[in-house]
Amino acid sequence: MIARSVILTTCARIAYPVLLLFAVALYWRGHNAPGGGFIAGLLTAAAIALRFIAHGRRDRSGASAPFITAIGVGLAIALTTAFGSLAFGHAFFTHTFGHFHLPLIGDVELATAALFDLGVYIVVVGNVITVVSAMTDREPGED
Amino acid sequence: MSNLPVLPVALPMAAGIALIFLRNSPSLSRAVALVANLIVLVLAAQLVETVRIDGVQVLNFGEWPAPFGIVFAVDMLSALMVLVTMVVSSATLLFATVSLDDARERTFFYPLFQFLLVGVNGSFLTGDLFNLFVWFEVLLISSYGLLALGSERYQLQETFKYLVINALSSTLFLIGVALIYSLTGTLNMADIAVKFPQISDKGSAGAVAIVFMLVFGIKGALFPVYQWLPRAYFAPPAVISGLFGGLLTKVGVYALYRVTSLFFVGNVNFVLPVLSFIAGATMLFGVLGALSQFDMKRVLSYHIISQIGYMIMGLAIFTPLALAGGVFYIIHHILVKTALFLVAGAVEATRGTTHLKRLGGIVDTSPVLTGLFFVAGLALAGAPPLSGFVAKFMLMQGGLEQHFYIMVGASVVTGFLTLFSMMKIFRYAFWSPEQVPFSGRGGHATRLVSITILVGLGIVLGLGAGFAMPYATIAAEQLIDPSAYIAAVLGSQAR
Repeated sequence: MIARSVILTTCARIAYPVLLLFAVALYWRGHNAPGGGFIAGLLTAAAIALRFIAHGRRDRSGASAPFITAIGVGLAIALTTAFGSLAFGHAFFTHTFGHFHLPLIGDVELATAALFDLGVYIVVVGNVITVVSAMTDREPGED
Repeated sequence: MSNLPVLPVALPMAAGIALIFLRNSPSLSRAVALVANLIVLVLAAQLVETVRIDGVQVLNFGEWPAPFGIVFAVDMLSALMVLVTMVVSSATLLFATVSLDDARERTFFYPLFQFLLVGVNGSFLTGDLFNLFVWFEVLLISSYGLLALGSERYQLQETFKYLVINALSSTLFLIGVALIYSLTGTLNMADIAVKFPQISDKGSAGAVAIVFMLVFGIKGALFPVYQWLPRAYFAPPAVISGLFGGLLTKVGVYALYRVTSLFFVGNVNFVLPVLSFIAGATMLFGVLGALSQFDMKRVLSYHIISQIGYMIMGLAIFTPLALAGGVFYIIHHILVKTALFLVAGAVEATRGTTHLKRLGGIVDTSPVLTGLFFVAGLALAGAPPLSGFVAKFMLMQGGLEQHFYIMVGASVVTGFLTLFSMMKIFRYAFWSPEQVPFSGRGGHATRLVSITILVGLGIVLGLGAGFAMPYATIAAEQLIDPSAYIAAVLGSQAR
């Protein structure tokens, strides 16, 4: 058991939700401005990795398996949006968008490209966490 | 607009994703992977026929017009490469289902295999230079995974070298793409073909040619940058090195065919002479390397190099006859070379080694395998009436017509030495009495089936050359006169 730093755990507890919210904001503005699923995914993964470092991982055995599955889910979402256009007789990867009036938020532009981006987001999170787990799933001194 | 061109990429990707979820169930994985492969094989055959009848097929992704969006542009060469890729990958997959150990099957062999096909088919189909880079990365990342699968010490050591050299060549590739973009302002290959002759700075155009020859030379294992190949391909199980040996270097060769015919011929006058020198040197050094080896897989790996020389020979001569010979050679080579690696895999599976001095007497234990190796070896060396003979005959005739006497001489010498080294394997491993007493199980019948498919196609290509030749000729004509390719891509702006 490694001694934990109080400063790090306290900061991580505050930073974690802020980082996640910021990731959502980045994802949302990503359609027409800098941001998007990739960078939001990286930020989310960084937030999760920060928690790993600050708190340790309770269950180490096979903990990366759900994240590997997440890669598959993300890829499936992204590919499905690309295939979706075929059902409407359009070329592969054709996207569309529309303006919708949502309660409380008001007029919003929703694009099918955002669904593709959601797939990217999940792939990135799954991928980075799998890599981080592979590098951290070791006790000190374990070879 | 038909979406057919994207399916050889999209369907293996869908299969690869499904196989991620099925990773804990090898039997289901095998079935899904095989069925997906066979579906794409049928689609690839349909693509070849569509291109033969209707000409170059273009798909604008997301309906963004060329040259702004990314296009897939399929001419006969692309379609044939995809078809032969699906043929050998299906045979290899069949072989893998009975040959791989359980651990490798569960650690993502099948998903990686499908993603490798995504990258290979994408490289063949794309009509965009940067997109070509991306597909190269997809196939390379999958190949790193497949090479390292199993994590044996020697494998990891060689995979690391393979990774470093490919990262280097990918960086150079990116530099080349940036250079072309700065000179022409476009990345669409058809658009570059239109704008490349207008580049006023001939020195920069030459630099682009050098960068691309170096990049695809490394990826295709040409002289003098082939040293990475024999060791990397020796490391993994034979089924994986068979797939790599048959397919991966040929993606580099294909890309060299593509960029040379579209951009450089007629614009950069040193490209073809340099390629003809490289072709001859690649043949000779590869075959000389093979002669010094005493392990089946290593001998076969060195022969990949020498045979890539023949493919580049067709490109360097650049006449319809020689190019058709080159295309024919690529297809013949992919089939026969994969078959030979799978024979090595079958030997390795039953005897536990591929070292020639520890083998022997295979003719007694499995005469069918011996026969398959004999035919495939002769096809590789170019004995009539097999596929290698037709291809080499066309290349040599094309070379003599254009007075490339030294290169033709080199190819004749290489042919004889190839025959010698095939007979060396045959004599030591198959024909001679057993050196180490062998009391083992027989081979697996499924392995023989998959090898028989490939060898059989080699025989059919040789005997039925009259049937196959029109396809190679169409591919060659489209390479020499890319105007139909350019018109098909850029003409779709009007739509």
